[in-house]
Amino acid sequence: MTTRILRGRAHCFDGVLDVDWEICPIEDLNYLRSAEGCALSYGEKQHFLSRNCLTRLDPDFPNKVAPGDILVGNKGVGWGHDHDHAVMALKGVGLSAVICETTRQNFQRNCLHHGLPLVKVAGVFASVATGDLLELDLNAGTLLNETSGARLTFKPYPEFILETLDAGGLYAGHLGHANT
Amino acid sequence: MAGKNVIQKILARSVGKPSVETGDFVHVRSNCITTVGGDGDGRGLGQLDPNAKPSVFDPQRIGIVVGHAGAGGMPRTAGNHRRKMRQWAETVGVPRENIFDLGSQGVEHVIAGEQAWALPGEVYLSIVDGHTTALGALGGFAVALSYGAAEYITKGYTWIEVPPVARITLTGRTKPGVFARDVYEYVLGQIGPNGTPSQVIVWDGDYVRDLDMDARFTLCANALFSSAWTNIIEPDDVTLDYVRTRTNKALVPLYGDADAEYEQQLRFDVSDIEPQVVPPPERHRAAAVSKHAGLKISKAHIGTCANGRYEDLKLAAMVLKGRKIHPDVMLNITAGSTAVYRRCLDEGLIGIFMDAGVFLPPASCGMCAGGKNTPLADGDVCISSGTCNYPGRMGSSKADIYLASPATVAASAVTGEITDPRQLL
Repeated sequence: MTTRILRGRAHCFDGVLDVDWEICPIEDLNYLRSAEGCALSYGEKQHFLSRNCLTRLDPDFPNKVAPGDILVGNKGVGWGHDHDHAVMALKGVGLSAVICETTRQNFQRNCLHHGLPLVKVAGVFASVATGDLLELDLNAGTLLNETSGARLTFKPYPEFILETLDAGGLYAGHLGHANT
Repeated sequence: MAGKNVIQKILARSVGKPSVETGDFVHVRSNCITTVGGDGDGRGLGQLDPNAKPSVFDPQRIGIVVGHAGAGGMPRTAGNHRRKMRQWAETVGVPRENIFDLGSQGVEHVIAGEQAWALPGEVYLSIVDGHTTALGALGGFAVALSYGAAEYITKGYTWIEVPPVARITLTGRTKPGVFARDVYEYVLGQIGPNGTPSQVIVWDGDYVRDLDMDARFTLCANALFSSAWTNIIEPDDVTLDYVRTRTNKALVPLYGDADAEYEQQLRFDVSDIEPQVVPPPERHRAAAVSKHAGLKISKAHIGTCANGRYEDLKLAAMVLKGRKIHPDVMLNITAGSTAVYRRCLDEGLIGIFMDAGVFLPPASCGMCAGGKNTPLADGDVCISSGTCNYPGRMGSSKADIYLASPATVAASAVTGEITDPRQLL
C-alpha cells in the first residue's frame, strides 16, 4: 500500500473561513473569470490567487508558509459558496493539507478533487498551535503533534479518494499539476 | 434501530441498495437532467481533457442555461463561453430543447425548477453554485458538483458520503408583511454559520406545508449559510401538483420514516418573527427591520435564485403599485427567468414596474452574481433580495449590502431609506 504520510508546520486560524472573504477575496475570483484570467494556466492561477490567501487575517501569511505546511482551522473552514478558487489559493501558498473541526461538503470535495487533502479531526483546534510540527497519516487516520505529543484520530478516506489525492486531483494529468 | 431519513432513502435508491448508513461512501447516478451554466466560469467544461474526443455519459440528461453572467454583462467572456458551450453541446448531442440560451435564459436554479429537471425522490446535480439547494424544495437531493463536474459529465456518476440530517420544524403563522425570506433569515440568525455543519436540513412543520412553491424555493435557496450541504422539503400535494404540470416523467416520491435518524432536531415558532434585515458584512446577523429603519440607500435590487420568481415580483408590485421609486434610488428588478417576465407581462406587473421607474434588465442572476449588471460603486448602500452581503459581492467592495425580502426592498426603494414593508402593503 502506498505510504501517505504528510509532515509540516501548523498554521492555525480560528473562526469561520469564508472561501470568498478570508481564504481568497472574491475580486481575485472575478479576475479569473475575465478573458485575461481564463487564459492563465492552472499553475499561473494558483500563483495569482496565493498573493491574497488569508491575508485579511494575517497580511504576511503567504510569506510565512514553507512548502508542505498544514492549515489548521476550527469550525466553518471553507464556509460559503462552492467557489474552488479558495482551494487553489491554499495550494498556491504551498500548503499540503487542511485539518479542521467542521467544514462544508462543497469545500471538502473541491479540496479532494484539486488534490489537497482535507480531514475533519475532532479536537484538533485545541491540540495544535501555530508552529507545531504535525504528522498526518492519511491511511491510518492519525494526526500526531510531534511538538506536543498529542495524538488524534479520524476516519480515513476510502482508497479511491486517496488515489485521487495521490494523482494530485481529478484532472492533474491533462491540466499539468500532477503531484511529483 | 432507528428508521431511515429521506436523504438516506433517496441515496439508497440512486445506488440500487436496500439501504445506506450515514457516513457510507457511495457512487450515485442521477435520473435527472444535470444543469450546466451556459455562460459561467471555468468549472465544468474547463476541466475536460482537451485531447479526448468530446463525449458525455448521456446527452439527453444534460441541460444548459445561460444567465449566471448577467445575460449580456461581461460581453467578452459571456460571448466566448456561450459560443464554446453551443459548439460543445452540438458535438456531444445535447438536445436543443434542453438549451436555454439568450431569449429564454435565466438563473439556472429557477429554470431547472420550471422545467422540473429536479424531481421528488431523486438526486439532482448541477455543475456549479451553492444555491442549487433551492431545488431541494421539490423533494430531491439537490447539490452542486463544482470542481468534480467534468468527471461527472464524462462518467455519469459521482461519489457521495451519506450526510447527517438535521430536522428543522417551523410552526405557526407569520404576521402580515413577513415572508419566507424573513423566516429563513431569522432561523439562520438563531442557528448561526455553523448551525448545521455538513448536514442536510429537512424543513417541515405546518408553516412549511402552507407555503406555495415559490416561497419554498426561497426557503431552500440559502442552506449553505449555516454550513448545510443542502436542504429538502418532503413532497406533498403542492410539490406534486407543481411537478406534474411540468413533466410527465414517472414520480416515486420518498419520505423519511417516523422514527428516522436525525443529527439534531430544532423547532421554531414563526408567529412573532418581524421583517428581517441582514446588515453587512456577516451573513447571519439578521435583525428586525426596525433596527436598521431610516438608513438611507442609493440602490435596491429584487431578483436572484432566492427571490426572483413570480410570487416575489408580485409582492414587489403590491408595494410599488401607484408609487414612484425615490429619486435618489435605483431599483433594479431582474426576473429569475424569461418565463417569469412573461407571466409578469400577462399579469400587468411590468406596467406597474415601469410606471414606478424600475430598471428591468434581462432575466439573469442580476446584481447578485458579482454585480454583472448595474454594479455597486464606491459608497453605495444597497438593499437586496440577493443571497450575499459580503463586500464586493455586487460590485465595489467599498459599498454596503443589506439583505431583506422583496417587500422590504421595494418599500425601501420608495422611501429612499430602509423601511418596514407593512407601512406600504
